[in-house]
Amino acid sequence: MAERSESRALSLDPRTKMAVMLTLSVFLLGGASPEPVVQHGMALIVLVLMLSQRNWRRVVAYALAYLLACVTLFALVPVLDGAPYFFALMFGGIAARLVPSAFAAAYLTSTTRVSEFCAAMRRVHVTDKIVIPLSVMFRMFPTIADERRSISAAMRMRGVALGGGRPSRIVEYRLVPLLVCTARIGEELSAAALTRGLGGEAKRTNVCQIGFGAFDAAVLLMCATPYVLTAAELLGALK
Amino acid sequence: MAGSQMTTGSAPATGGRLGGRDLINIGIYAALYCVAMTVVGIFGYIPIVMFLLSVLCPLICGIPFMMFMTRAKKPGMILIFNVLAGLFMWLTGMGFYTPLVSVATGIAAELVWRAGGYRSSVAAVLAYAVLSVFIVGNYLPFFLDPSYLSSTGQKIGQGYVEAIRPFLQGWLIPAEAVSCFVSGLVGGLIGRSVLRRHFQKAGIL
Repeated sequence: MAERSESRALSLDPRTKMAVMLTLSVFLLGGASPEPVVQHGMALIVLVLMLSQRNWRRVVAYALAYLLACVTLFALVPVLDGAPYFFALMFGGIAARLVPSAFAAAYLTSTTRVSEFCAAMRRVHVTDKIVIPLSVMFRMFPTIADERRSISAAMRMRGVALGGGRPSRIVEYRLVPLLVCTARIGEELSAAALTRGLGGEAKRTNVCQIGFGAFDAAVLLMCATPYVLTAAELLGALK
Repeated sequence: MAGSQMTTGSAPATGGRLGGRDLINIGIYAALYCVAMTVVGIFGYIPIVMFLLSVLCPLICGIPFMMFMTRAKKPGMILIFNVLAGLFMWLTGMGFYTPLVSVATGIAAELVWRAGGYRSSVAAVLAYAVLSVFIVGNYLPFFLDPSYLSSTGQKIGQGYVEAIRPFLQGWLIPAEAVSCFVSGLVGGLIGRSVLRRHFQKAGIL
């Protein structure tokens, strides 16, 4: 997760970000409403999040990836036939659903500090037995990526390409060193965290200021729209 | 530190309540497991490979998981591990069925591990195979949602429905579950042999 949070005005409460993830998984991935309008609306919410982060490279990457999926699905698919048709359809269908989710996940992990995430989870009364391992998990991802880079540099220095020519060796040359390093770092992390009182009986305090603001309200409103629309549709269908 | 167990050295004691150290170990190995899962899962963007992920993921992820099993000596650790993996799937955009399924597979794996006395290596492999079944949750959105097929049928053309129908039969979910379980067994055995070859010799476990 991120080292620093973004500027206060356009930052979201971690709970809002999780509401976005939930809405995406219900409507985009779960397909609770198959209307294309809802699908594009979901993609639009993610675009708003991307813009608020002002990471322009990521905005462009997201827009291009989603456009590619839509062009494949709506322009390429109707004119193709046979096997290419099938592949284009599968690719477009999967990408149109997964691209917004993947970018929303990237937004969540790159804008939320681990302790902010913990504070938010505690506010919604999630047990420590989930919060502590989850925060350790997010703490470990950058470390693992870092170790992976070091290992691949060391292997390159000794002239070992990806698997030394044999795929089964990838496990031995990459994964095993990674596990060894991470196990050692984990031991140190445990010692450090226990010294700081993690896992004790006392309730831990947290200095992070989290709370809902105007931008949260706007994003939550956008997330609520598809639920309201679907509920209205269901009620209309029942009459 | 009252109530939480603090053991030094790498082999924690069996039984007792979960302490800070156990929770941190769960996080570390869950992170490794999820990274391995993601590296393999990226290939799922290739259409047909997506259905093969239920075979590929358990094969590779067995190595970090079997390493976790050398630390998981207390009741509840596998359940938390599995729920975390499910939550990770949800947070990276794989739908919300996965964490729900992971609760069930986590409890089942926990029972297997308990029957093995928290140290039998056969039970560890079996528990891993049971846990691996939670990957099926990632496919559920494609099946549990009848409106999805009919709407694509109208909007994109009947050809798609006909092309994809062989893949969306009802038997596919149990078939995926069985393939997860079987490749979980193989992955667990691979993990066990890698562990023995590389880690026990080097004195890391």
